Amino acid sequence: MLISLIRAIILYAVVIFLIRLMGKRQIGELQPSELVITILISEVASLPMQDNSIPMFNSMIPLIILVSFEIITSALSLKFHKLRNIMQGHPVIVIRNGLIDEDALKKLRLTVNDLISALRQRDVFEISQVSYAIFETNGKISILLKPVNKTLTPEDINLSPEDEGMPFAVICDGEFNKNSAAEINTDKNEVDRILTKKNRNIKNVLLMTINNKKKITIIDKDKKK
Amino acid sequence: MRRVMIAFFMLAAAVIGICIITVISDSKMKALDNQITELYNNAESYSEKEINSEINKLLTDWNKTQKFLKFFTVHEKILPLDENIRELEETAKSYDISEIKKQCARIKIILETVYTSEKPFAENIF
Repeated sequence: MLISLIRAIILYAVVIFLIRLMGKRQIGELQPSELVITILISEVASLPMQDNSIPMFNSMIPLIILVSFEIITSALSLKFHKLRNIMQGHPVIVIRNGLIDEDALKKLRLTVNDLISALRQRDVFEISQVSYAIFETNGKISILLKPVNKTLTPEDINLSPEDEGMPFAVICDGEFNKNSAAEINTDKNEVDRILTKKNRNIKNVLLMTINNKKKITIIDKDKKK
Repeated sequence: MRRVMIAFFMLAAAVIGICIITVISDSKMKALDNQITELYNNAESYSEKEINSEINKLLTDWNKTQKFLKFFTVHEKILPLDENIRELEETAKSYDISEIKKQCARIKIILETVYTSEKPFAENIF
């Protein structure tokens, strides 16, 4: 049992390292080849955890080779369009100018029900509102609504709201974040000054954000805890 | 770019590592095979003391080889080899030359099986 425990810890560390090396996005955004690699990694890594008679190298070598190939082919895909098409496919337009492209649906082996379901998940309940719908290579659907059905924006009613910029979390769970602070040209001394002015201690701050206009938001930790 | 370089490096390290391990385990298996062959060929001319000495040397070398092989070979493959070499030790105590030779022949067959099963032949890959 101790052997299984030690193997599990080692393989966990190796898999985490390899997944981080791949620089993966969330599951929902994976390309087909990336999804295959992710599944393979979990299957291959689990073998020596379950069976102590299998040497760990028999698992680590395939893991290293799979991840290395994935990184190299994804790098090559950036340079070679044809390789990218082979590995990832290409997006397919299924609604064009409000009309469903049945041939495109057939190629994707999708039914109209699948299409309507995908649209509903994007809060579109009326196909006539859609100008273009594109099935992306990761299986998600992108929608361009007709102008009359788009959400109103300030530009449409000739308004120019002030750009408040992006808030950056300079303190998370009582810890100062140097990288976020650098984004808004501030440092720990400045943050400490702000907290002192507001009679606060960094350890008691759950979240502190500052945006480009120096607007500050502070959320304290729950005092009961 | 950095990740790609790391990937190339890992791939190269894996390939080189595999080559080195293959060379080392092949040489150890060949050394074991030579010892068994020598014992088989010269069993009749050895005295009891000499046979026991040869088999003790074989066992010592096999223990070292086994430790190395267990890192890189599925244990079930090595088990029959280990069992038969231990049996050879028992057989040697009786100083029955024909039995010793039979046991050596069995070990050679198992060695050959283990050796070829690790080679990248089509039947092993598929």
